[in-house]
Amino acid sequence: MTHEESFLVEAQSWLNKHLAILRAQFDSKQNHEPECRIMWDSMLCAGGYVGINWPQTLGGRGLSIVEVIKFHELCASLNTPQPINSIGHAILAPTLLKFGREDQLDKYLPGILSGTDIWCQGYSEPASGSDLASVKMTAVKNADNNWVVNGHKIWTTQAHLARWCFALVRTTPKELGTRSHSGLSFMLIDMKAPGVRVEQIKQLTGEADYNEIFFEDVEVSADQLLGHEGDGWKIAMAAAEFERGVYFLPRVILLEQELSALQGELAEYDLSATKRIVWEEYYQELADICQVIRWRVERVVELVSSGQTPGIDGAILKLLWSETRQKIIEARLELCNESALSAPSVAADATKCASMVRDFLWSRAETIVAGTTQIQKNIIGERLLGLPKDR
Amino acid sequence: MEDSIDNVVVDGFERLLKEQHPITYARQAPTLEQASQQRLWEEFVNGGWTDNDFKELCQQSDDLLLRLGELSGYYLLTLPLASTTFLVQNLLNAIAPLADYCERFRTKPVALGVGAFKQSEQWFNYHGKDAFYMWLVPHQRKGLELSLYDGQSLQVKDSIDPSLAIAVPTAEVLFTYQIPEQEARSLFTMYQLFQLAHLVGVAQAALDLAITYAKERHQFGVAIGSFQGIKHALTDAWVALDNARYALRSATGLYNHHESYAASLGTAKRLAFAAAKNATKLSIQVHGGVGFAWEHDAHLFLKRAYQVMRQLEYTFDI
Repeated sequence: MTHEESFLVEAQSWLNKHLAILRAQFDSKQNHEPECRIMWDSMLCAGGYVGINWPQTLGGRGLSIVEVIKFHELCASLNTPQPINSIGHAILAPTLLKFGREDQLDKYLPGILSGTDIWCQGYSEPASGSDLASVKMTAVKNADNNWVVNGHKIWTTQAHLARWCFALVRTTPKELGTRSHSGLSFMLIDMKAPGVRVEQIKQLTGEADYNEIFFEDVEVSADQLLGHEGDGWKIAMAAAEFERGVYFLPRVILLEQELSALQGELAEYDLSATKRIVWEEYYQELADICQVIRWRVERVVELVSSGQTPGIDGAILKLLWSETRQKIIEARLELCNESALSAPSVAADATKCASMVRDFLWSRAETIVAGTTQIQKNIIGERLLGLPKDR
Repeated sequence: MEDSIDNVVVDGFERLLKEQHPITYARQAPTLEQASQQRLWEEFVNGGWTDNDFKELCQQSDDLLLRLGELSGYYLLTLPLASTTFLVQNLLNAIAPLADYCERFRTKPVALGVGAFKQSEQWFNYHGKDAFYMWLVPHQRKGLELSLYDGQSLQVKDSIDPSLAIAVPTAEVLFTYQIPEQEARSLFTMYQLFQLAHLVGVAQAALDLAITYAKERHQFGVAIGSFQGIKHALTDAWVALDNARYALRSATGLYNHHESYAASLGTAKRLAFAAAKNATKLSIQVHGGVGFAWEHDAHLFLKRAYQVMRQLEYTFDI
């Protein structure tokens, strides 16, 4: 048995054992709850399942990206929760490994590996959503050659729990005639630094994972800049590629599980013959597109496994997956009848339909987060079809 | 190596169509009565595009058949290459009495129709008097009933597709044969895949016209392709066609009788039909008034797409 094969055997056995421990406290309907996700994160860290492909010198297992993908595939098939620090694992860590200096790797990676440091992503601002390059948060050098940061980030997932924030900041003022992408830098900011204030935003699900972060004269050491000054856009785009590459397969597996659940629910549901024909046609349409998504994710995994980035294939995958997930969940909700009126807050009662309401409400975010559907279509239309930009 | 052979074959096919069968030529609805069409068919035959070796070459490559099918749709091919190469070759192998026609089939195109039992409801794409016409009636759990007609005995009618007339049988059949269900199923796979790819090619040509137009046509001071209403519709149409290609590529596993790919063929059919309907209609919409004009090519693709879908639909009943 190769080193890689024995890793997967060990991982399977570890998952079976530790998932049972988690399930003693939280059932799978509570997967999205912060307490459940925090516990799972700690267990993964303690078990050595974070940093699977990091070099051994940095505390990782030194395996390849293929093992990372297989491990996440395994997790998804067992319906594990998403660890609370998934942003740290999936976006920041690979970005650090690609662009970080040695002292930065030594400083930031151990906290991700041990689970003590949760990371959040400071990109969006009140006036900069889809137009990410227009961020206004500024960083100006002071007499000590450190940066002084002022600005306002919004929709920041887990900022209220985070120890660190990686943020896009403007280090060179935007002037007429210069591209808005230039002048941005990628900064690693201490959330405990004086001048950082976090306010939670209640979402339409009733939960509050999102936050606003206010930065008022926050001093950031010069060595907390990742890459060079002005490299921010390049690094942020590369970071997004990591997320679309490795971490999409688990979402596709979840989607297939949801489709299969819909099929089961349809079979049990009491429908007139006419309605059943309509439903079955709709189900077939969803099943066809899920199959295409599966073929597409396999293609993306193939690209990532061979060291390439998913590029436009990642944008198409995100577009199809997000829209299809919304449709499947809505179809399942429709089969709940009056129970679809249960508030998501009663999900803890473990009624299937209450958690469905929560999933339905949450699913509205899928076509907004990580680049809206409209932005994905702009990317595909402009880069692939060569259509002109609208500005 | 396989890729480079494929590329040579595909390049050769595209050059042939580009030079001898551009859209302006398809517009004339050529039949074998015309010397140019007769010459083109002879090129197909002499170039080996209709023989068993070529069919086998396609079987060895994952997407050669699909790339050629797309090109045939892209240039609105007006000759029955798919049925002649991918169906007749199979029939000759499967039906012993048909061997009498073998020599004649070697040089003549054979058009295919599938559907109704009643002769009065049967129709073919018309390619000229010099072609054979083969009608197949699917019977559930019984297989197929094959009827062979001579091109001389057909009555020609205008069809929705101005590049391909249709013809209805008016005389007795030359030959009939009952094909058992088990054999019937495997006969069609390559033909269906080629024709689904043809449909995708028709739709891609329509979409390419629209994309080019959206870059060139200016309104309100900007290219209309910069408006999200148009850009996103074109993007959706492109992604839908690409989805169909993924399904088609997966279904090519059926060439070699891997039944596990049967579901992919169904997916490919549904996705290709939906994507082709959308792209060909969208192309007319994006062109606006000029897209509604007979002199513009946009309507040719819409009409070919609908004619191909009508023909293909019945083959999936088997």
